[in-house]
Amino acid sequence: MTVQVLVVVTYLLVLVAIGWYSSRRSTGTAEDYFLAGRSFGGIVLFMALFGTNVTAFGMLGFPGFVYREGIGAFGFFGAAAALISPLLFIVLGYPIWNVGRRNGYITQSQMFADRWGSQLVGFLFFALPTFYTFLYLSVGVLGGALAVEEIAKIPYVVAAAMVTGVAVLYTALGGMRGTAWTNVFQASVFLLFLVVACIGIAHSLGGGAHLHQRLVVEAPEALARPGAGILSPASWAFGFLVGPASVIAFPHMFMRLLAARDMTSMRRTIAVYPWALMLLFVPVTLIGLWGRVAEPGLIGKEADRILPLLVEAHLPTWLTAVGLAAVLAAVMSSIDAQLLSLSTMFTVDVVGRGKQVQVWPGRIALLLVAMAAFLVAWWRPASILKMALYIFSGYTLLIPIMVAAFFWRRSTALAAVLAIVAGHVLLACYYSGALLGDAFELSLPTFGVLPVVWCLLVEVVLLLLVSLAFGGQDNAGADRFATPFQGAGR
Amino acid sequence: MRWFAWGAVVGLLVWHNLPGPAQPQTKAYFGWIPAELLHTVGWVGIASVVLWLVLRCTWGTTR
Repeated sequence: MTVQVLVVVTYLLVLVAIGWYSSRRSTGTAEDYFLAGRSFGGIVLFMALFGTNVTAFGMLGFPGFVYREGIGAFGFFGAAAALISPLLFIVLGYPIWNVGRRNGYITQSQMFADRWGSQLVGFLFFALPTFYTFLYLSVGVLGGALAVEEIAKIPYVVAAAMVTGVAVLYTALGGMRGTAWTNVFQASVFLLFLVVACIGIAHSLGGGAHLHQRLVVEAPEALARPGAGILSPASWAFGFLVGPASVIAFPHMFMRLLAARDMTSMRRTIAVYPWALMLLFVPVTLIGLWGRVAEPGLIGKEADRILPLLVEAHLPTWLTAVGLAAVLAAVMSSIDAQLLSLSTMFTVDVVGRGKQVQVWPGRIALLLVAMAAFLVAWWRPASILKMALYIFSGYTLLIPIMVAAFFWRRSTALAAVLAIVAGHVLLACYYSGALLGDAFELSLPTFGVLPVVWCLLVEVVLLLLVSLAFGGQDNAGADRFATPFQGAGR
Repeated sequence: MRWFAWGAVVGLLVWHNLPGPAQPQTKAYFGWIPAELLHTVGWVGIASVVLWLVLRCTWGTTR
């Protein structure tokens, strides 16, 4: 226990020290605080995006998923994430960065309001990402605190306060630069730990070859891809929409993309991204598979404990402590980015609207948002963990509008507004039970696919029909979004 | 070239995501890496190289 406390306290102090050091490099301007002066080179940009993208699910939920579903889980989630995310960084991430840099945008609301010359579009791109990101942040704090409580055996509320408090401290100190530099450290911690843990667990259990032979004999079904249940063709076809694809619509990823220094940074990040995700997903897949024979009999959510169980049973105490720090790293590297993006949206889109943006309201907003998320996590509403699918589906519904902004000149503000409202209202109807309680469950038909598929269909059809019917008039915003791939230099 | 690259990426995504054989694949490379896992990593590797080509085609000509 003493070793665990020592390692975790050291880890947290390193984060605060990085936040403090990065604050000393700040020029004090709003753009420097919120976007690090758009100065991220390849390594920092990559680690900031990667660290933000990887949550506790990657370290705890995914090995449990593999434990339950077998090796097919790797292709279903890991491989899809390794390709879809970088693909969307090319298709949308690069235009976001390029057009954002040319016009000085900081938030999604600024960018898309300007595209169609519509404050209503701007409001929707403020309200919806704020709503989903606040829910996502609360789920992150809650899930992270539960994981820390489980592994470190410390009270849940203390764990939630620790995770939120330290993230607030270094984010308020260092802003975007502070969170990105801490993400470099955090991503290094959890990637290195997973590789070392995978090797250590295999060694302790008699070696990888021995474990594979045991799998063949004791749990051969884990090595098959029968295409049933959650891995059915319908899930395979659309599963990427609520996981890897939604990433590009996260406001915290949007702002990190805007912080890139140049095209070379973007290109290097995208080239390395699939390999980094493989480095993450291969060890956790092996750990999930080996867990089937090393700790058989875990049912349902119990399977999500497979990594901590194997780590505790087969690795030395000090490495177990590093494992706890690695889980904290995965949790906090997402929470800090979400906190910063929410405070940035509040400061730029609400407080600083139409005037000079200041840094201090951002720090106050950061504290208020963190306190609200902590209170939600403390309250622990029963339905919040069921909302993950709803949150990611909501982000996904922003993507067609983003695509239209960059690649369809004829699209109109009216079409964008109607499409966004219709898609998100339909989504809320599908998830009415999770949002308002089981009594309000509407039980709409899904015809065997994810609800987001029907919401996307409604959204895209409305966007097309209304734009074709009433479109055709260009505005200055369309000109600013023209040629999104050009003019960036090297 | 650009459209070929896009087609290859989409094709690879669909292909590697199709449900595989129902029978367990017991083969392992080096005795410990399940063949299924390494094959998927291989497909991701190929697709990521194609992505890189897309990147070059899309951005390399737009300076």
